[in-house]
Amino acid sequence: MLEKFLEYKIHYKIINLFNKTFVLVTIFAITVMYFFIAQYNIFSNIQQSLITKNKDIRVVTIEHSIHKDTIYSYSGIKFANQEKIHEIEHLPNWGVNASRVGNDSNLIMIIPNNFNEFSNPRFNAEIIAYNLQSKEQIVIGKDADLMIKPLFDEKNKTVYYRSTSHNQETKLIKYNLNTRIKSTIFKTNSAMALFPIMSNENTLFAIKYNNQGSKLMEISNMKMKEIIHISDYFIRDWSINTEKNQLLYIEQKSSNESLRYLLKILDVNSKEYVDLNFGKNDYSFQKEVLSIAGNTSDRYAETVHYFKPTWVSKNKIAFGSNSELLQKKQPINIFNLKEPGLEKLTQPLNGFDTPIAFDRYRENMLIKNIQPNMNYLEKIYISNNEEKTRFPIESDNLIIYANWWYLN
Amino acid sequence: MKKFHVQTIFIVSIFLIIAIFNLGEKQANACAFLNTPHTYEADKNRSAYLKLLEYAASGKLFKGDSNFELPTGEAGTRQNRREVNAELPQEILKSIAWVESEILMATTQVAYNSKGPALIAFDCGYGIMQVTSGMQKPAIGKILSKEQVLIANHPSYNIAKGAEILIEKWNQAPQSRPIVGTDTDSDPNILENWYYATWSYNGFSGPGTNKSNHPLDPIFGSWPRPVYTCDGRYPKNQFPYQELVWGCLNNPPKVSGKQLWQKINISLPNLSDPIFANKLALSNFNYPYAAMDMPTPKPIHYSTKPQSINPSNDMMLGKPNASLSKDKLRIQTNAKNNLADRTIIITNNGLGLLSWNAYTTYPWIVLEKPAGIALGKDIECNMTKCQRESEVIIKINPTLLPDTRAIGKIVIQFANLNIADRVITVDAFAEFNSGVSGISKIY
Repeated sequence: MLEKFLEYKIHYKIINLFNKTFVLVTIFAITVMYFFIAQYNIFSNIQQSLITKNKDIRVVTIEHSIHKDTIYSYSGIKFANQEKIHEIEHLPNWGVNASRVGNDSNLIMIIPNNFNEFSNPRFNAEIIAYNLQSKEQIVIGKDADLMIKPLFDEKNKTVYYRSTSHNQETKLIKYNLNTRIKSTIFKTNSAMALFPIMSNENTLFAIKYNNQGSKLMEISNMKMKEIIHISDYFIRDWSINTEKNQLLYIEQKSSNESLRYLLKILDVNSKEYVDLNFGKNDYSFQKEVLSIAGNTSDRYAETVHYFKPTWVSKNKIAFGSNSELLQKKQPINIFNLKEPGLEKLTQPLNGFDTPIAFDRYRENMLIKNIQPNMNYLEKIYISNNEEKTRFPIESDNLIIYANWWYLN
Repeated sequence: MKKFHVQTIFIVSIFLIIAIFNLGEKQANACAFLNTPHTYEADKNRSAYLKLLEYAASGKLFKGDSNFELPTGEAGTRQNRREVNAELPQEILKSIAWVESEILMATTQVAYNSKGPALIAFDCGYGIMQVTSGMQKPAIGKILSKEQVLIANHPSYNIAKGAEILIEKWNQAPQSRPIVGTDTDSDPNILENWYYATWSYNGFSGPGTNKSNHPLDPIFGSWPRPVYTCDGRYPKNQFPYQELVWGCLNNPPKVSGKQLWQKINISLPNLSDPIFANKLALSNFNYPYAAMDMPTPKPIHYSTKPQSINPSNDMMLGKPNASLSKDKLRIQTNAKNNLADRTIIITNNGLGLLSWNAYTTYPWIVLEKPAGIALGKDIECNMTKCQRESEVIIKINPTLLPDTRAIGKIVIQFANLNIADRVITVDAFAEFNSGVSGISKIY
């Protein structure tokens, strides 16, 4: 009995030991496997694909060729799944001008059509609202100015565009996609450089250019009123924040000796400039950009050229930068308005990056990379700073438009 | 009665629809020709046109013809502007011709070495050089001028007029245009110095206008931007006009796989350089634009003059000789007239291109084609559909006939021949059918 007990116990221990080893080995194997899986991001990819599946966020592009522009979407983990959505035939050697994609999947486009050979392609262009999901389109008009990007007020489902269909006449047109009502909200019998940039319920804001400089204008009830004289100089690359109260732009200030590019933010309501909190002058901002880039030169007169400043969040802006004094391969800079200092995104392999848009989940940045030494060749990437990923949008044609498209 | 009302409403609706669609042609009717004139399209490789462009740039084309010879040029800064020889860079002229029309005289439907409708743009721009100056519809009671006819249907004259317009744009400086080349005496032999003149060829306009070509206009996006590649990769609407022309010099267009000219790395004003950015600032875009005078963008490139430029057959400069098949037509409106009965054939027994146009003051005579070209024996015309002769085809609108018989006249002019106009008599007999009321038929 005792022998049997002891034998059982020994067996039990052996078995236990075996079992323990087996357990240990199993655990060890699982650990090793997890380590390797984690290294290859399988889990994170699964996690991301689950997230992506729930969010269904895609990149939509318009890709140009001589006789037509084609709309594609890119989806999937690496945004490599290309799907052709629609072809737009147009006047040979001209291209469409599109606004951003609305949450309702509407893409507003101006098309230089050749339906009427006696039409100037620049100012009797067709403007349409094309729904990327349903593939239905609404023809808004055939009197659009091709050269001015249309504005889409998503909340009010309203499109604003400039019409210069008659010489020396400028009109701003409003079209509601729900009611299909079209109206002229401003008209002048003189040529006027007006760029619609923002709207709320009944008011359109536009930037007006002339040889006195740039002004922010408010337009409603066929009347135009100056809000503020923004600059005596040329301004470009404006971006409106989501609260629609701050205008971010680049001012190009030239004197006989120098040309300076200044990043500025204007509060539309208070008409005051937001302090970039970077010392009290723009030179220290430039110095910061230069020093972070590794250049400690004191040559402030040299130009740091800023590109496409974009709102990332309430207090953060992103922009591209390029200069002979900077290193090559300039990544996108992110600047926090509340805390001085620049954060850099992943460095490109060539050229310099400029932001197009941050997705609304604050994960991926849609980027345009520009290579000056290759005739300013442009390529589109999606960059995720946390994941350290950078996926290209591959195309043989010129991508003339890229933006985010949210399907849910 | 009810059937009559339905018919009437239907017929009126048709006329309304026709009227509405015709409103779209309003702009077309503002151009010189009511209907599209016909022209000749030369060889596919553009060799005839390229030679003509060089000849025109040298100042030799139509020298002595006050309507088409190249005016003298100018050189010098605002302080020492002076007259110089009548010539301009053939490189700039060729690139402008490509940007305007891909160096084509006729519409794309017309085969090479054959005849067909002339190329006309929305702004009444005609032919290779898209000449608009003077190409508007004549005032009521006036007829087309010989100059208008030649610009519309003869490639050589069209090119000559384009060259004349370009040098006139150059000569507008300094009175009403700025100067490029404050450091190079604004030498017209330097290609870069033609920046403002080229801009002016398409309209020296700025932000807000329908044809803004200002390089700093926000409609063109940021600077720096790529050089236009002239191969369809980039849409034209991303560049001001002068950058299209510069781009086609940097990246010559190809036909049948062969470059049309040697590549030239012609320099644009660098808008990142304060020297040029300041001169081109919008605040300086004020007539007469004196503050926009700027130095020559570097590096400099000089125009290359061809060794010898002499007229050749393919330049279509041979002397034509006109003959008509008949000088009287008899047309019976209700009879089934042969087409031949209503057609006058114009033959060029000489050389080159014979430019003709026809008009009438009789409203009941309808001319299908207002102007055309008859080919001389030295002009290539080998396509099956290519006819050397040209046809003036007449139709009668019986509803406008003053009587059952009427005699009218058509005048045929020969724009590049110094001969009297030819008058054709049209004898029309009308017998009306009592068809459906409200319908008229043009016989």
